[in-house]
Amino acid sequence: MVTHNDDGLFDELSDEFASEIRDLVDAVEPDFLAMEKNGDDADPELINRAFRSIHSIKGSAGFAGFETLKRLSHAVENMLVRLRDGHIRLDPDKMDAMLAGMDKMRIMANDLHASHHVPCDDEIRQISEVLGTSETALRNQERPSSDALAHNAEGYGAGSNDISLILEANFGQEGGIVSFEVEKAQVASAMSSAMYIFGLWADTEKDIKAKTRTVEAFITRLEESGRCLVHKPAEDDPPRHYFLFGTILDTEFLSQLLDIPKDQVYLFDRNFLSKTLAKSPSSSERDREKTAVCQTVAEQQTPSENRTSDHTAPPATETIRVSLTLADRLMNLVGEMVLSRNQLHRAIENFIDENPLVNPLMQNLNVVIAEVQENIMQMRMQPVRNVLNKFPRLVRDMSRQLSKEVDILIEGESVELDKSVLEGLSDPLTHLVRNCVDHGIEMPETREEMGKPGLGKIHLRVFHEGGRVNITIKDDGRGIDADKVASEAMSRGLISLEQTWRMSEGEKLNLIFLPGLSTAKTVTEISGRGVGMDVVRTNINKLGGHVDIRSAVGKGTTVHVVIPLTLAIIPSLMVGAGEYRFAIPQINVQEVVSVRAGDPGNRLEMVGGSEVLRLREGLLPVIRLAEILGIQPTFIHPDTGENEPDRRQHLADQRRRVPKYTNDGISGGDARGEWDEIERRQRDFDRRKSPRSDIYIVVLRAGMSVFGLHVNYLFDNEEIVVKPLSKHVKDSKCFAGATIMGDGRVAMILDAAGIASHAQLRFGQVEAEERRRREMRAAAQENLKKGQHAILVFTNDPDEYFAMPLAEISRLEMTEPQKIERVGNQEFLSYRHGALPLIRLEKFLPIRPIPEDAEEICVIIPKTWHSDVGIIASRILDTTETDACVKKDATTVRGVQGSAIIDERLVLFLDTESLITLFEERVHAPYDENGALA
Amino acid sequence: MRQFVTFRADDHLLGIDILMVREINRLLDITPVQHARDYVRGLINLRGQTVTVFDLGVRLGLPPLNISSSSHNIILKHEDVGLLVDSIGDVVPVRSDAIEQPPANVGGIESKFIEGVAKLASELLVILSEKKLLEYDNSQ
Repeated sequence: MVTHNDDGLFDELSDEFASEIRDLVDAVEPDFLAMEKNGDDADPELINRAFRSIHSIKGSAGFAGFETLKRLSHAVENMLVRLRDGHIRLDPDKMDAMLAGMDKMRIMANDLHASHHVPCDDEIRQISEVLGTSETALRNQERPSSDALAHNAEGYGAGSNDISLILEANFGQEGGIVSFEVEKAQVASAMSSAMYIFGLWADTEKDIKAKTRTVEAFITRLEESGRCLVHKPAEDDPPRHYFLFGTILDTEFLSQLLDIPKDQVYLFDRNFLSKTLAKSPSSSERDREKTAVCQTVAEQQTPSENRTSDHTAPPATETIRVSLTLADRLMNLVGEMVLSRNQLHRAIENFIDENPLVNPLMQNLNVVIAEVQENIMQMRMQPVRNVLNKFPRLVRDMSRQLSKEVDILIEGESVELDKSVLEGLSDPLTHLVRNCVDHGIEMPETREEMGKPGLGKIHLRVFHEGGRVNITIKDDGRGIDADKVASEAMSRGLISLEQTWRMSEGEKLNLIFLPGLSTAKTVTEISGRGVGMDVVRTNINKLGGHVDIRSAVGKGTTVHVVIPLTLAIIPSLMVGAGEYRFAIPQINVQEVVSVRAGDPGNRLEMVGGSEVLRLREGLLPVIRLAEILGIQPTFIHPDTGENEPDRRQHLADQRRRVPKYTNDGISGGDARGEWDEIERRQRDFDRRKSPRSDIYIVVLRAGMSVFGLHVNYLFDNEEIVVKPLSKHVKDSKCFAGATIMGDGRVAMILDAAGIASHAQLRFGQVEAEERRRREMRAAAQENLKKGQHAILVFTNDPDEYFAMPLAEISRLEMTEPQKIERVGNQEFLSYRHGALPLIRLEKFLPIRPIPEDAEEICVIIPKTWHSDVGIIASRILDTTETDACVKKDATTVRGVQGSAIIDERLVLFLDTESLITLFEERVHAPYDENGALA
Repeated sequence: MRQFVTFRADDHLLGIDILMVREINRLLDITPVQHARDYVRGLINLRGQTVTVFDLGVRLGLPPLNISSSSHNIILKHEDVGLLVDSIGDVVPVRSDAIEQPPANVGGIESKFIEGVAKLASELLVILSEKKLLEYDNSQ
């Protein structure tokens, strides 16, 4: 018995005890659930294992004096005994009772000292009721008389094997050698339960009567902490009781528990026992076995101290418990070590080159540090199992409550995650699983009507991908109707009707994460999901992860969660703005777009006063890091190689062509006014063509929004150690923390979500524009089908308008007049590694020429099947749809189809084919000095 | 008898109880934190720890300080905060009863930061309250 005087020791012990109980309870629950699932076919080993765990709880509780816990575990144990012996069959009610008992145990373990006050009578009564007997009756049954004990012991051991074994215990001088005859099966069963087999004796006078207890009480105590295999009362002088006893306790504990001297306890060697048991159990060998046993006993005549330490230690668990603060501190120190290594490396960089011997040393150091870092990271890693373990139980209980049939399949529970991430993950995952059962999976009848199996399935899968941990939770329930979510969001005023039109299915579904929507009961009913989804998202975002939802009505829903492995060291992209460096966590980085120095106009535009990046089909709002942080942006001057301030107003100012002329005012605007000045500067020096002045845009993802962050410089990827920010700098929402770089300077870690909100990104506007363009494209295709045709409108002289069907154009090229080369009268443009002959319209048609001072021209390359040519135009105005009737009249010349009025302007429609024929005739025609039409 | 570390900011002679000071250094490679409070000059790396450096000038309601060859950081003990000052003076012992209540206004220094004043031989020493300096005003 532990003395309660020494509170410190007691607290420490009970802490350990509490976590042991928690572990045991956690270990038992899956077994219970498996037992229920398999019904009568349940593997007896499952019951045995559960029994052992409960038994250990009971034993420890009794040992440490937690009576309530002991009583409760005793009740559960009773149930298990009867199950094992086949007296009762497992049904859901019994399982409920046992699980309720387990829950109470967990509560008690959380506060052991108050465990006496945790009411568990209900649970015990519940168990007793399902057993159809009262607790006291059970207790009596558990306390067999000493005579019946040997007989009772036969109840253990599943198989019946008549062959018995004689074991001799050597109790040294005082006790002598005592032999026990025991059934092999009993020993085997005890050993398979990880028990140790002890022989022990108690003096009736000294050990029992003198300590004011009865033989029965002594046996009860034995039974509580193990299995009594043989009980042999001996009428020696003085009278003794001999026991052959199986328990998981070690010699030390056992002698304490029973309050008998240690030399009255003899431990049988496990290896020896298992060897003996493995031998062919033929009765003719009995004698030999006996001698073998004696021999071993003789061999064991080593000092008892040694023996105890050698054999009685519980099976060595390969783990230790380390306090989290210690792990954290180590983690910090390793972070510092990494930094110091970087600093050292930088400091002696030159030295390394000169001294070949230093390099291997540095490399060795690198390897060691990297490994230490990795291992310490691993120390904090825990299998995600610790969180997922509770789900089968959760699903079972919920589905029983809701009268649904749901099964959960968990995959990848051995994936490891940082402890802090794991802790933060528990709640959101629970929520998601709960949602699956509650709202996702339908009632069995409904499912069958829909032709689905009545048993709903939830598939939870955890896997590594791209240095992150992915979790998918998939159900085959009713799914979510995206439109209903959208209309609900709209009716709550969270989005506008207009917005819903522009949203894709996925976007609508993701509205479910909006805070206002989540608590809405009505949505729950119509959609199947949506309780507290905003909380889920917030929690996952806090861990640096994100969550996405996909669903098909009637088929099911999949929630995809992506989270980083650890929070303490994060791989980051280092970027620069002005003279400062910043770290962007990789988890936020979707991609990095480098816009060629010569080509920004093709990728960057202005939409409603904000800059956007055209990325594949979509438009991304772009934020300039330097601007948002109020830093003077710089660039490296290609001539001087020095940092110089960059005075561009807009990134798109680098564009090398006249802003696109449109009727809807998408582009141009304020950028246009500065155009001339910029163009002049551009001619002054061609620095913008230098690869150094490429524009770097880091595409960031923050929650649901994606945007581009323009940075002045891109540096390496680095693993950084996050340092928290003090409260005085917490105001700065753009930063998530700070870190110390290899050179010892502090760099701030950018917070994508904070930047997006600080910049008040006009996602709506950009999305609207994106949607508009998408619709335009769709409409263009639609119109094509209807017989309308899309045309490209351009000018030659600024006031004369021409058009060509878009379908006949293969490409548009922007270029400068200076780049056009002449061979004789013919002009060429270097294009795709070849020379493209050019058609100047004024040479073929009676029209005014391109103004001499045009700074940029456009070359239209039509789709032709014979020869490649380009048509020079001064400006592309627009692409538009028209069904206007193209009319020929007296003025219509060769090379022109006719004219039409579009948007109140006279537009000449070119006839590409005849124009090219004209051109070819001309090339092959005899040389004409003036180049006029023949 | 209390001992004060003395220093100057914008020509004022200021002091802070030596028990509140962890160290004084010249780590002046300060990384600014944009959008933080105006008195935050930035962060420095103090042997692997980040320390928030206040511009003592701005903190006290004076003009911002310029970093010169005599600038120093006074790192406080109870929080990872440093005070950027123009120059460092002596450690001055002052008898507790020689510390007087501060006048209403001492040369533009916000009075809430002043714990008291002490008359030294040639000058008035303004004793700053560490607690007030570290106070974070949520309302701003």
